[in-house]
Amino acid sequence: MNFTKVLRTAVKSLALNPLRTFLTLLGIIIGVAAVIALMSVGSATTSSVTSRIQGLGTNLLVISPGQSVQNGVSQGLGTAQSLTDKDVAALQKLSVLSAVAPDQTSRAQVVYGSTNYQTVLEGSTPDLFSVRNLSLAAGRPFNLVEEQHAANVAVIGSTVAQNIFGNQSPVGKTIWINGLAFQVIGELTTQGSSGATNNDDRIIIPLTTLQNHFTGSTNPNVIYASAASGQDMTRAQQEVELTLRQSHGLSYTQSDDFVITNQSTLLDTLQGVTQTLQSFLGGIAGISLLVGGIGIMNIMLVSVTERTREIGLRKALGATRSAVLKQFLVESALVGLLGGVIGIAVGAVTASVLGRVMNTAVQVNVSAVWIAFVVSLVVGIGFGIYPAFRAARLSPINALRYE
Amino acid sequence: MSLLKLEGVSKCYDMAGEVFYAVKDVHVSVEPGDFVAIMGPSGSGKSTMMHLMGLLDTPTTGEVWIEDIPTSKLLERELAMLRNQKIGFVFQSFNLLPRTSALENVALPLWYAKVSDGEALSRAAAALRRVGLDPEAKGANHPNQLSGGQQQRVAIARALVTAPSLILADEPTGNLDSKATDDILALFQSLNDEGTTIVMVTHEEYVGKHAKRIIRFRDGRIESDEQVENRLRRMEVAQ
Ligand SMILES: Nc1ncnc2c1ncn2[C@@H]1O[C@H](COP(=O)(O)OP(=O)(O)OP(=O)(O)O)[C@@H](O)[C@H]1O
Ligand SMILES: [Mg+2]
Repeated sequence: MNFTKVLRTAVKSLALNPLRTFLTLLGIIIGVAAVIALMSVGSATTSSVTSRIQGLGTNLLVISPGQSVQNGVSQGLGTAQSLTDKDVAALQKLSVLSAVAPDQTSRAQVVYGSTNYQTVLEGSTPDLFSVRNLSLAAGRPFNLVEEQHAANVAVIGSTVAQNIFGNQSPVGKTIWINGLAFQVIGELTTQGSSGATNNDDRIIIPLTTLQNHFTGSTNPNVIYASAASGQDMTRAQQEVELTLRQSHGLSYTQSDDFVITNQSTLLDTLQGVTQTLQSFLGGIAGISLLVGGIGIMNIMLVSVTERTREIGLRKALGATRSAVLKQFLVESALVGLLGGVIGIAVGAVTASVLGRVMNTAVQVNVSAVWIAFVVSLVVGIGFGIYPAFRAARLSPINALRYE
Repeated sequence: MSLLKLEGVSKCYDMAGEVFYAVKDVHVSVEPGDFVAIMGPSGSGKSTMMHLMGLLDTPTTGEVWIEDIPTSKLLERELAMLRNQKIGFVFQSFNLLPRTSALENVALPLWYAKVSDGEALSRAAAALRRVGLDPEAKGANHPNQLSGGQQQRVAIARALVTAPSLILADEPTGNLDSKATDDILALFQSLNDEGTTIVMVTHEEYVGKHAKRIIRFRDGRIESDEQVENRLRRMEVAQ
């Protein structure tokens, strides 16, 4: 029998029991569709987060205080007050860094006319704008003179502007922060949120102003630094670490009481998370394909039993073992393939619907499609082998006498 | 040269520790052009014997020869080829593939013989014509769209299509009425006249009388093996 004949026979026998065939396919369809949809949405999310992180600037170093330990219990990152203005001065002397921006945050009650608004108050040096890639939608950032004189000037985030001023232009207006009058000199362009923090819901004022009127402390909560252009990030990070260890007077047996992160470590972390996620999804896919495969095997075994007499007849007419084997293998491969193809289609549709709902540009992962295609074919053949062998090994006489 | 020869062939089954002989120490040979009826009471081993002759079953002891080929040492693949080329089977319950056209049913053995599609179909049409069925009119019918007699004709056409030296038929008229029985017997006789060797299992004396030779079975052994006196002849009538 040539291959088209075998294929036609297989199609015919599958078409004989459409409902049963569909239910058998369903196992594979669900598995494959889940993989395609999740992989596509997963990689779309990853790439959007990746590009956002890269947008923050790849030469950014973030120095945070370490954990404070109370009664042997670690209190979490940033709980120690280990960074000082002395550290900032030391870092500013480093040639590997092009800019250093110490940063303090506090909460603020803002009043404008009859509007009351709660937001984050952030104090830093003018360098913050370059170090954090902050651009302005209107007005200007504060300058060194204003910083040195602790001027009451403020740059506000777009969410704050929206909430306080509505559609009015905020630049030049006077707002009251915790009872002090501030002149709004600039408005940030919309940044978007990173994780749970909304970067547009804050007011930035000179560090000195924040220290004098609000926090009363000279210790920054965090220090942002830019590596000088062309600098190796790893070297810059090492020098920062060394400088801070000296400035903190740490002996070589003591570990760092601060943490330095840069965007590449963040990206690494993200990649790790993505990998874990993908292998997790792969695991789910594997299990559902396994279940689908067992379904195929089950149905093929039923089919072999049902068609025992037919197998006997074919053997009496001259079918060899390999001909019978081929017939049943093609049938189960077809089930796998059909399930795979339908599953890919269903998965692609699901992915694009999810993409629309989540408002991200979802692209169907081409390698996932190929993998799904091949895997479903392999599952079809793999789980069809045993039933096909059972059929091929039937002796013609037992098959013919079978009731 | 005998077309078929059984030498000391036995087939036994182990029934709950007891050995049961369905066929016991049978010696028989079938010559080209023969028309043999195998007769005997139910359970005497007729079908078993026919399955052994057709290489569908393997004897417990003894040797089955097909045209001087001893078959006990052959591989499964070689047996399949002999069944395909040398032997045509006709069964009591027709055993046609359901939801498959008459023409395709007849062509099936040729497909297993790797004959090209076009040639297989034209030879299948010729075989249908030979058994008195018009391939144009009935070739596309599925088995459930044919009468019992027509189905058995299709089955005979399928047995004929590879031009085998031997046709083995197990109760070919068992499911047919007397008219259809006569038609099938006439067909067998005319095929035999043309040189096809036929071995036919039956338990009806009337059917057996149409053969040239009757082998009677009892308890798995040959009881008698005689030429038929007063052989009945049927003329083929156009369908
Ligand atoms: N697989 C088997 N296992 C055990 N006994 C079997 C088996 N196949 C056949 N037999 C026995 O072998 C004997 C001969 O069976 P066979 O089918 O050849 O009879 P038969 O002469 O064709 O009868 P009938 O005219 O009813 O068709 C029977 O007693 C049957 O029970
Ligand atoms: Mg019988």
